[in-house]
Amino acid sequence: MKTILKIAWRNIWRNKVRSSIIFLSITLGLLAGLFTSAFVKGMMKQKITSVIEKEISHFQVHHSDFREEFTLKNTVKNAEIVENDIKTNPDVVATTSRVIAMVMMGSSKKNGSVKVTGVDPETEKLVTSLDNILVEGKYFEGIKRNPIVISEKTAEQYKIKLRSKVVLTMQDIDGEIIAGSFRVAGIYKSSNVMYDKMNVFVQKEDIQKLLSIGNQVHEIAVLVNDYEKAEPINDIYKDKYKDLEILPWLDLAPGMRLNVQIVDVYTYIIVGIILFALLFSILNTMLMAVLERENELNVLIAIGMTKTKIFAMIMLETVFYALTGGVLGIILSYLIINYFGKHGLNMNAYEAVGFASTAYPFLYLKEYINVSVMVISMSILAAIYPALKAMRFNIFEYFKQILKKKKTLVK
Amino acid sequence: MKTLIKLAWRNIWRNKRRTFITMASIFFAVILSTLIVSVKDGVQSNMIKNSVGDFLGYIQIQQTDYKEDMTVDNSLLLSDSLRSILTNNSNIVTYLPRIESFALAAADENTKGTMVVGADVSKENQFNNLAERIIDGEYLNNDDKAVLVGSGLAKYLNLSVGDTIVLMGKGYHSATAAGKYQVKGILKFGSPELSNRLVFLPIKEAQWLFDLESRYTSLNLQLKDVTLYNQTTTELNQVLNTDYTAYSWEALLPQLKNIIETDKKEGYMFMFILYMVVSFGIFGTTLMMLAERRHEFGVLISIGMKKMKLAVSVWIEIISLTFLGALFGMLAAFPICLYFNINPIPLGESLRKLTEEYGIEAVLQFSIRPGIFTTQAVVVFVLASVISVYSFIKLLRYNPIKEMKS
Repeated sequence: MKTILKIAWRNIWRNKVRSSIIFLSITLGLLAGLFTSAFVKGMMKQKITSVIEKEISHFQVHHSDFREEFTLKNTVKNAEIVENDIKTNPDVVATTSRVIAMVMMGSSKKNGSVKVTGVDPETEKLVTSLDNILVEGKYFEGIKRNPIVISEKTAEQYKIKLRSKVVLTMQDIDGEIIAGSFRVAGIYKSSNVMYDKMNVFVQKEDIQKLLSIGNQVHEIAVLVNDYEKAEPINDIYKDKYKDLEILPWLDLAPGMRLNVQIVDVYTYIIVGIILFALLFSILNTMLMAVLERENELNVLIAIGMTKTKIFAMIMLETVFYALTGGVLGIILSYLIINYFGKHGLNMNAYEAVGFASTAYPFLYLKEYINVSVMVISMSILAAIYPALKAMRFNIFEYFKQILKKKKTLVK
Repeated sequence: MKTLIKLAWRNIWRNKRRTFITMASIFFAVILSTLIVSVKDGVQSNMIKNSVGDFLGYIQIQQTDYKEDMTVDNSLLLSDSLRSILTNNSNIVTYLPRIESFALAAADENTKGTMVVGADVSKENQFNNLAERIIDGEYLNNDDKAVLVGSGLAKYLNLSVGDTIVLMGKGYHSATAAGKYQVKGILKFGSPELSNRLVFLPIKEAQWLFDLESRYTSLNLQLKDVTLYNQTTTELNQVLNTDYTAYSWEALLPQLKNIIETDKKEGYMFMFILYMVVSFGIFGTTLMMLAERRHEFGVLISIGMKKMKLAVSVWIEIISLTFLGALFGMLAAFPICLYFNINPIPLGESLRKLTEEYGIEAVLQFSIRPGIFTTQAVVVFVLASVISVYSFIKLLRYNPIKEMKS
């Protein structure tokens, strides 16, 4: 065994061209596999942080009929107690409670329906960073009575500026039509135009007073420290407060779970196809390499090397290639992934709506190991067929043919 | 030249094993890249079909300002010249006239802002199967003075079939629009947003309600070939005067367009990585071939063959192998894609409920658009041809003595 190990090791350094081709295809394969996974992961995270964390946070608590009926009276019972309870979870980063109503908004130019959210400015900015997307004015500051924050798009449509007055008309809890006037304190712009057109924000106390709902709220939004933990933490509270509806982000946005699932499945298919292409290219190269060495291998068999040993030798050669190629591949991938992870890979020519689409590829150590093990074991798998082929060389036929060739040459 | 081609042809058949391996590397490259593009394309057109096909339509003709300012003041008149433009375009099957506007809907207790859509109900049913979306009550006739409401809205307003709904809004040139209607049926749409705010009524009633006489706000075009929506939009805009514009779904639903654009960019990234892997596979095979035939090339040059001629002959060899490989790859990819086009990959049991709720098919369907197959075959062929330049240069610089010694 030790001798075979030695022969295999020496063989791989003997023919530099052949070795470097196999070596490089493994390096490249690993790079492709790792980078694709990191890219997909980065893209996914980007989508989640831009859409989920900014707009709907990780999970939300509602009255069990609120999302369906959307009526004012469906407030969260004992909201304060529930919110304080959720806050005690160590993985929860921040919570905030909101009042939500559909209202008519009117300026001197236009009337239209918008969704008004009454927020607690202090806790809201911890959950959605609303204060970070302001492009003009201040975050609920500078206006003494009834400040409102609207989007740039809304300002354009309703032809209003900072400090302009808008009137919100709505039904209060008793069904009476009431109106309140608000002044624009700040103007925001998110990366989603649809969201911007629909949403305006006021202070929770102001709208609670208008609607005469005391200190009741319709929604508690919760941010946790990792989006992958959102669902398990959500489930803890779902079981605890059975009369409330507590849903994670995947179920809050319509069709989100479906979309995420579709992306997941077909990413697997694509990574699978790339790995298959890799398997095939290594198999091809190894096969060529073995067939090229027909003479050499036949001589080895002729001088008494057993077929099992030939098989072992070729497999060992591949293992050496895979390990050295693997190490180089991992180092290279690590450098490239980190470079783009830092500087970003711009995927979008024009930033209009929806996803902010600069990908920041990243990969956990666990995934580095997974993909590397997969690629390296695949390279070894790819060597089985060529090695078997070498085992089945028929030396008598081979030398017969060589003799025949020599005879014809002599003639 | 003829001799060179003959030589190349005979070389191909001389060593069948090598020929087979080289061809196989190209064959598989074409199949795999076609599969990726096919699944990507399939997912995207499904996405478009699900969000556009049912209600929005691939193209709408509107008064140019209506898109920015959706009031009935910006409505259009279906003149004879407009009608002839529509009948003269070969890709347009027919048009569905619509009136869409905002109104406040009130029932006993609640009021809510809604989207009121007036449409030619029988024609609409013919093309969009709206009657199938009725979950309670009956579908409308064109002469009915009644409405259909979305399921979410019905629930919010606490309405059931036979109840009365009051609509209030702004009509043409600031006339007051107010009407009282009986609910004849309840509609459920794939998109909950539509279900939550839709009120649907016959077009004549809508024209009366908004005081529009014979005007419409938009014409929803039904296309023969939906993939040609871009071309048809351009054609229409060339002949329409500037008051009216044809908008494709890309303009009407920019967020979907953006999602698909981003998805495409992601796709390019995957393709780039795949091409890199397969090119290297092809390159490896070429290098091996050169290494294996060192002796043969050395002899040929020694007995007086010009290096240029040798290089050309080997190049012809590789190109014809590449061509055949790409061709077979294309032919073999088709049945695979066709299979997954007819039997799409289901996305698992847990999503069944969701898909029923949204009326979206949760499947991965492969596309069999002919362009995919030819493009991928051509791309791989070009890649392989570029790689074969290496063998060409290598042979031009061949040193027979050095090569044969080793």
